[in-house]
Parts: sequence; C-alpha cells; structure tokens
Amino acid sequence: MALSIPKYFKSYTFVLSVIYAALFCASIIVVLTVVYFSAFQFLRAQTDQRIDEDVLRIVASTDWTNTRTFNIRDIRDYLSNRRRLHPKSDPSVYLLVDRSQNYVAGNLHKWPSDLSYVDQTRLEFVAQVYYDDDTRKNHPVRAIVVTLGNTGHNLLVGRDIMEIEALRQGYLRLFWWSIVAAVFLAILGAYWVSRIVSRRLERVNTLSRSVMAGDLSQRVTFNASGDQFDDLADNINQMLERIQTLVEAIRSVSDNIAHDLRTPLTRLRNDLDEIARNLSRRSEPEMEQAKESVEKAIFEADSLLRTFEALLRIARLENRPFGDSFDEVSVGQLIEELIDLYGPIADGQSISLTSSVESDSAVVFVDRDALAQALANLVDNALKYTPQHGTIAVEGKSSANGFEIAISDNGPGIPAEYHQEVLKRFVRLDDSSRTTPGNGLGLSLVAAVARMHNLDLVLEDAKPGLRVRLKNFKLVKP
Amino acid sequence: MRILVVEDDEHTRRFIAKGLRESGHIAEEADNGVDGLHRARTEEFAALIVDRMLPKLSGLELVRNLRQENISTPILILSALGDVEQRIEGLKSGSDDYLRKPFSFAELLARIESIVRRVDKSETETRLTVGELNMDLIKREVRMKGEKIDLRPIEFRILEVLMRSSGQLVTRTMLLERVWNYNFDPQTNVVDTHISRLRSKIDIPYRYPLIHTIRGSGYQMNPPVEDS
Repeated sequence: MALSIPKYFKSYTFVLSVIYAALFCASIIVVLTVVYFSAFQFLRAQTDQRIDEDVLRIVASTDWTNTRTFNIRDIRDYLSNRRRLHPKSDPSVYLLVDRSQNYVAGNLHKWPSDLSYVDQTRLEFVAQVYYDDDTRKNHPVRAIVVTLGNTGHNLLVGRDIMEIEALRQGYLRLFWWSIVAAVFLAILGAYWVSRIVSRRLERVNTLSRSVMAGDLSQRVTFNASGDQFDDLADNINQMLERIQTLVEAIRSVSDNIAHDLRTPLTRLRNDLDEIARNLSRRSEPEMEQAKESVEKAIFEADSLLRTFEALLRIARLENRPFGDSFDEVSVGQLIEELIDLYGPIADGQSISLTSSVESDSAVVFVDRDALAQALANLVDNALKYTPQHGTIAVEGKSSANGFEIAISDNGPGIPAEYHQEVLKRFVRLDDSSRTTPGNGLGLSLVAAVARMHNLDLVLEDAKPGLRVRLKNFKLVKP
Repeated sequence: MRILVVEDDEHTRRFIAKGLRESGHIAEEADNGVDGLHRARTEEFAALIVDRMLPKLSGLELVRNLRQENISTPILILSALGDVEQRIEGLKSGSDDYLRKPFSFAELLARIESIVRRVDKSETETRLTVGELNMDLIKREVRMKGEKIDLRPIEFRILEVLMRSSGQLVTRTMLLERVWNYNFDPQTNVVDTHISRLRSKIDIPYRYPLIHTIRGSGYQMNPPVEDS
C-alpha cells in the first residue's frame, strides 16, 4: 500500500479524476458566488426600500406638500424620540445637521467625516451608533443623504445593517469552508477512483507478466458485476484460452513429430548397433569396410538424435516456469568445474582459458544443470572459433542489477547485425556452417536458459572477438 | 547373469534381450508393469531393466513396490524423459541408475554391470588396485609401480571412477555424470581430452597400458596381460 500510493498519483485514472474534481470544485464556486451576489443584492434593495419609506415618513412630518419648505423644528421633533437606537426593534439610524454641520438631532452624533453631502447619495459606512442602553457601538450602516432644500440642513437616513453584515460574514466563512471541503473530498475521491481502477488494471498486468513468463494457465479474476472491466477480463481470458489451446496443439504436434521421428531413428540406430556387434566378431578384411560404414551410419543417427534431443530440451526449458527445479548454486564452483572440464581442450589448442570470480562466495538461485549446459555451450563455441594462442576468459562479477557471468574470446567475433539472429534455432553464420561441427542450437539453448532465469543475454564486440554476457543474476548470498 | 527386461515396446525389448544374450547373459522378458513386478518378486534376478512408462503399472511404481518389500535387486530405469528432475525422481524411487533413450547397447551393458558390481562391492573401500597401479583414497595418493604420481583433483576423480569399474566399460556419459555431475552431453568430446591427459601421466611414462579405449563407447581399465 505504502509503495503503491505514488503509482496511483501518477496513473492516468488519477489525472482524469483530478481534472474531474477540479471541474466539480469550480462549479461549486460558481454556484456559491451566484447565490452570494443575488442574495445580498436582494437584501440591499430591501434595506434601501425601508430607508426610502423612512424618508417619506420624515417628509410627511413637516408640511412640505403644501409649503414646499421644510420645517426643521418638525423634523427635529420627529427625530427627537429617536435619540437612541433600539437595537432589536428598530434599526433606523438618523442624523440631522445644520448648515455648518452641527448636530441637531438623531442617534448618530457626528457626520462621518469622509462622506459627501450630495443629495440622494446612497452610502455605506461604519459609525458610532447610540443605543437606548447608553452604549455606543461601531456598526455598519447603509444610508441616504437628503438635503433639506431651503434650510441648508442635511439629513442622513439609514439603517443598521449589522445583521446583514453578520450574515455576509457567516456566508463567506461557509463559502471558504465549502471550498476546502470540496477540494479535500475531490482529492479523496480521485485517489479512491484511481485506486479501484488501478487495482483492477493491476490484475490484468500481473496476469500479463505471468503469461510473458510462460504461464499460460493463469486467468483474470472477475468481479461479476458485468462492467467494462469484466468484459475486458472475459475477453482476455478467452484470448488466453485460445492461445493456450493453440500452444498445446503446436506442442503436441512437435512432441509427436519428435516422438514419431525419434522412435524409428532409435530403432535404426539399434539395428545398426546390432550389425556393428555382429561385424566385430568377424575378422575378415572385407568386413572392415562394412564396419566402417556402419559406424559412420551410427554417428549420423546419433547426431540426428542429438539434434532432436537439443530441440526438445530447448522446448522444455522454455516452457518451464521460473523457480521450478532451481537450487542454490555457487558461481565460483560452477565456473571452476567448467574450467576443469574444458581446460585440457584449451591446452591442447594452445588457448589460454582463464576464469575470475569477483566474489568467491557468490551464490545464485538457478537450475544448475541448465546453467552449466548454457555455460558449457558458450565455452565450447569460444573454443571452436578462437584461433591458436588465443584467449578465452570466463568472468563472474557484480554489476548494477545483481551478478553477471561473461565469457569473452578474441576470435573473429560475430558482426553486430547477427547478434540477435544467431540466437534463433538452426541459425549458423554462412562460413562456419561448412567448416565447424555443430547443429545451430547451442546459442538457442543459451537463450532459452537465459529466458528461464529472467536473465539478460547480451552479445557484444570484445574488440576483437565475442563477449557473451548473462546479466541480472539475483544473488542469494553476496 | 539372469536379467529381467520389463519393456512394452517390442522392438526395444528384443534389442536389449538379444544384446544381453550375445553378451553371455540370460535375458527374461516382461511387457507390462504388473507381470514385471510379479516375476521380480517371485524369481531370482541379478538385475532389472525397467522402462519408465509401462502399461498397467509404471516403472517407478514397480521400483517403489519392490523396495517397500525389501527386494534390493539392482534396477536400471530406461526413459525417454531425460531431464535432470526426471532423473532425480527416477533415482529417488529406489532405482540404481537411470538411462535416457536412445542409448547404445554398450552403454546399457556398462551401466548394468556397474550397478551389479556396486552392490557386490562396497563403496567404502579405502584402497583400489589395478595391476601395479594403487590408489589410496584416504591419503588421496596414487602410486604406479611404487612411484608416486602427481594428479590434479579432476584426474584423481576420473581415475577413481575407472578403477572402481576396472575390467568394465565406463562410457563417456557415465564419466560426465560421476566426475562432473553433468547430466547433459557437451558438444565436444571433452572427456577424451581428459583421458589422454591421464594416460600421459600413468600409462605412457611407465609403458604400462591400463586405460583402453572402447571405440565409439568409452573406456575400460584393464591390467596388461603379462607375457612374461
């Protein structure tokens, strides 16, 4: 889990989920903003309407309709019982000032200094409002300026909008918290969705890996919910079923071919063996030639049988799952045995066959027999192509990804364009196929052994000569 | 020796039986596992040659049954399955040797003689002697006509295998199995090179030919016949 989190964040589904979540958050912001503006627009309009009604009432208190003049006394009287604000019952705010801006009446004592005196201006400001419990508090106020024409007095009529302001603050808090919550839930959701999708994809990937490793019997597990993933799983399973059937058909055909050809070949060989034994009891000189011919025929039959054997062995190695028949094997010992086996041949050809193993105690988990045969094939090849007084080196050393065994010679090498080609079955380079014995299966077997152990098989130019490296052995002990 | 051949393939069975008779043995034949088991239980044989895949009762089952009944007749299993695991499985069942088909008759005979002899002779011998060649397995010393010979460890092991089977054919694959523990055939005849090295140390300097090549099959250690 701890390991897989970064993977989820990198995954395509996570990116998609994040984009979706971002859109989701944006739409929440749009909705909240629209609600905010329309709601507070409405509240402001309502306040303005109340203020206008108040202005009308004040105007009505003086005989303005008939005289077209304002009687300051009437207004002052009207306002005098409004010296204080009843915070609960009446949020009205008034201030009457004379020509020289002196207080005349109202529950505001001072004209806010930075406000204009222009008639009909609507204002919002914070001012000290006097309350009926003799306290004064700074409260937000929305008001209108009314110039009382003939008198030169200015009247401020407003309302305490503390409650609306509180509501606005509350709403804004809600707004920010909603966004924080939405972002958090969106990320959580994105993670969750991508994890579910990644998990189900991972099942397919795990399966693909084991199929690549040679196990065709695995199948994707279903959720049985009938969704697209189940469709995919079903399709993959059917595909694997088909592949497995075909592979088994091919395998049984090739096994049959090998069996059908091997059996008569074996009988032929046995018959020749019998003839050879009968001939060996006769000592007439004319039998010598017959003996020789029979021995040649046995040799040919044996080499055919060996080719079949090698083919079948490669097929078996390729189909064997990793880990089956594996054992802990000391690299040093394996290489030493190899040198022991081939040393005398190298001596006979005046070739120096050397080995160096970096860590004597290096132990790898391998199929001993298969690896020994692969290494023997490589040394065998090197001996075939290295000229007299040449050198062949077998090295075991640690590398970036574990341990590596490399075999280099200073023979003619293989041109780089054939490095992959020679790993195929029966492929032999033109000039060697006539001059050097072999069936063209040696390197194919090495390749099969490498695949079976999940090793990298690299052929490279040793300048001069060929170097074959088997890389990525996992060490059991350093 | 009286040897029972349990093999369902008629051609192979007759090939083995005929070869055994020509080599001076008595060959009895059975073509399925049940008959083979019955005869092995009720009659006396020096050795059994049993095919791994038999009708009615498999070769491995046959061996397991006999071993459970404490019948210790040496048994050689024949099989078309030659991988190392199958070989190990075959030997674990209680058989004494495992030979992959196809095989040459010489190889089969050498292996049969070898397992019969192994039962007769104890493996815990500390001293091996062939003619004037002596091997001390404790001191890891080899002496020819009393003179100490310096051998590399691998040469010592090859010589030991040959001396233990002196007078008998030891094939190349037998040497690969017993000396190197390899269950595959290297492409080149590496064994021959090792033998010629060994010869250059023990045969040639003393003009005393011990290791004889059996053409197309392997080697045999025999003391030279003294003409006196």
